Amino acid sequence: MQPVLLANRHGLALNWGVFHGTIRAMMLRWASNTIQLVRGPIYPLLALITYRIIYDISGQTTIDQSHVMGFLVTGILATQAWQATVWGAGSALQNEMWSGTIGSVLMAPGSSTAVILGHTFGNFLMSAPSLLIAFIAGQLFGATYDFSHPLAIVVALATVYLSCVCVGLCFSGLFILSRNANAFANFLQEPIHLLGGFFISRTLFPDWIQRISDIIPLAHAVEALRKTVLEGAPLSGISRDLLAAAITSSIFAVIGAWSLARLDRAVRRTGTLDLL
Amino acid sequence: MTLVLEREQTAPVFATTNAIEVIDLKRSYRKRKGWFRSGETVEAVRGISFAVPQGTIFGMLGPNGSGKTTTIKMLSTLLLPTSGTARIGGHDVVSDEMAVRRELGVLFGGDRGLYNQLSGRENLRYFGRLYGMDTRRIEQRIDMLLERVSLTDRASERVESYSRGMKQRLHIAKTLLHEPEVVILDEPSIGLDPAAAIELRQLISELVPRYTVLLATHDMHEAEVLCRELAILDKGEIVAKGSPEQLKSSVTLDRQVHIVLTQAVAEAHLQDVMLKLWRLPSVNRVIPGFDVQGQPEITLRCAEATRVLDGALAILREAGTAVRTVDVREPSLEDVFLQATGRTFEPAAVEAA
Repeated sequence: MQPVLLANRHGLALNWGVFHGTIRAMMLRWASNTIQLVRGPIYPLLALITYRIIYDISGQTTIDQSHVMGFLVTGILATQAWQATVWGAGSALQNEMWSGTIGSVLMAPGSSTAVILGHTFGNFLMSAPSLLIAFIAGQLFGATYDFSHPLAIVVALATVYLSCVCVGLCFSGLFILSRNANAFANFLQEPIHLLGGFFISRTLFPDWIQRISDIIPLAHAVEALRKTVLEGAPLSGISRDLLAAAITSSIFAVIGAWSLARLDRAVRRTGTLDLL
Repeated sequence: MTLVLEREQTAPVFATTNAIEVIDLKRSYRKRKGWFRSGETVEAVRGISFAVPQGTIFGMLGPNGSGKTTTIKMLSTLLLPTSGTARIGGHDVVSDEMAVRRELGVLFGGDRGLYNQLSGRENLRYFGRLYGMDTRRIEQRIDMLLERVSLTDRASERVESYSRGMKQRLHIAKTLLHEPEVVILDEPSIGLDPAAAIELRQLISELVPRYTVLLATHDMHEAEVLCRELAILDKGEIVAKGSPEQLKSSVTLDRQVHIVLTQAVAEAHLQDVMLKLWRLPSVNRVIPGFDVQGQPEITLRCAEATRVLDGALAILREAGTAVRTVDVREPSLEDVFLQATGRTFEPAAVEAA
C-alpha cells in the first residue's frame, strides 16, 4: 500500500492548518446566522444597562475609586472573554456532536486541541464588535478611560483572554466526558462572574470568598485590566496581577492539557462520544 | 503490508495484499442503568474475523443490532476493542491509530455529519484542513470530486438546501478527499429514494479498484450487487461468509417454482396431477393454492428448478389447463440468513443487541 499522505502536513503545520481552518469555518457558520449577528452586540449592552440600573438604585456611583460605568464596561469585557473562550472551548466538541461531525473530526489526524482552540479564537473574533459597542456605550454613560499606557492595556487584555482560554481548556475535557458541556458552562457562569469580580468588586467579599477567587486567573487579569484602562497604570503597576494570573492560568492549562491528552483514549474506550 | 498470522483452521490466513484484516475481534460493554445500578454486559461483537483484499468491495450484511456499526467504529479507531486484532493497511487500529486515520475514509450513515450552514465546497475545505492538506491540493481534489459526484453546480450552496441524495454524494466526496486507501461506508444509502440509491450504488461501484471498500448495509440487494465478498452478521457474530453466489448456492432450502394457472385443475384430475408433479425429479412438495390476486396457483418446492420446469408444464397442459405465469424463486441472501440463524432478516423480528 502506498503512503499517499506523505505530502500532507504533520505536527505543528498540520495543527496550524486545523486551527485557522476551524476559525474560518466557524466565522462562516456564524455569518450565516442572522440571529447571532444581531444578538451578539446587543447582549453586552443589555447587561451593561441592567447593572447600571442596579448600581443607580443602590446609590453607588464609584467602585474602587472608578466610575461605575468604567468598572462595568471592563466587567462586560471579561464576560465576553469568558463566553467567547469558555463556551467556545467547552462546547466546541459538543457542537461537533450536534452537527454529527464529531466522528469525522476525531478520526482526522489533526489534534482535537487545535479544533478547540480554533473554536475559542473564532468566538473571540466574533465578540470583537460587542466589545467595541460596550466601550462606546460606557463612554456615553459617563465612563472615563485612561489610555496613557496602551502596551499595558494590550497586555492586560491579552491576559484576560489567555486566562479564559486556560480555564476553558481545563473544562473542555470535563465537558466532553460528561457529555453535557452546556449544563456545566451554565452552572459555572454565575460563580465565575461573581468570583472574578466582573460586576462586583472583590474587595467587598468576605475573606474566605476572596481566597477562593484568588485561584481564578480571570480575577487577577480583570483587576490588571481595570488598573490600566481606568487608572492608567503602567506595566510595572500590574506586574503582581499578571504574575498571579500567569500562575493560576498555568495550573488550569496543565489540567486541561492532561485531560485532553486522555480524552481521545477515554472516548475510544467508552465509545459513547457520538451517541448524544 | 506485513503478513499477519497463520493460525489454526478457524482463523483466516491473510495474504500480503489484504487492506483490512480483522482477527477474532470482540467488543463488549456494560449497559448504563443509573448511578448505583450496574447494568448487564452486552457482547456487541463476539469474535469476528475477516480479510479484505485490496481494491475490492467487502460487505458486512446484517440486521440492526448485528454488530456492523460497532465493528466499523473499532476499525475507524473510534472505539477500542475488548480483545482481538484489526489492521488497516497493516497498521493496528489500537496502537497505531494515527497511521490508520490517515489511510482511512469513513462515511457514517444518516443525515448528519456535514455542516449545514456551510456550502458543500466549504465543508470539503474544512475537512481537507483536518487532514493536513495544503490549499492547492484541497482545491484540486474538491474540483475533481465535486465533478465526480455531480455536485459542481451546487457546490457554493449551503448544505442545508441539499437533498438527502446530494448530501450522501457530498459525504462520499468528503470520504475520498484525502485520498485514503481504505473506505468504510456505513449504510450509505439509508433513507435514500430508489433513484438516488441507484445513483449512489453506481458511484460506490466505481470506487474499486482504486480504493478498498468495506460496506456495511442491511440492504441485501445493495450487498449482492456491489460486493465481491460478504460476511453476514447476526448478534455480533459472522454466521456466513463468501461471495454472494457462493452463499446462495450453499443454501440447502428448497427452490420454489410458482405456477399461476388461468383456471384451476378440475377436481377430478387434481389428485392425479399432484401425484405426477410430486414424482418429478427433485420435487419435495406440491402445494395447490391461490396467488395474491386470487388466481389458482401450484407451488413446487424442489432442489433444482431447472430439472422440474419442462415436466411440470407438460403435466399441466395434459390436464387441460393453461399456464398464466411461472416464477422461479432461487435462494436469496435472505435465505442464507434464514438458514444460518433460523430467523428471517426483517429488522422488526430481530432483537437489537
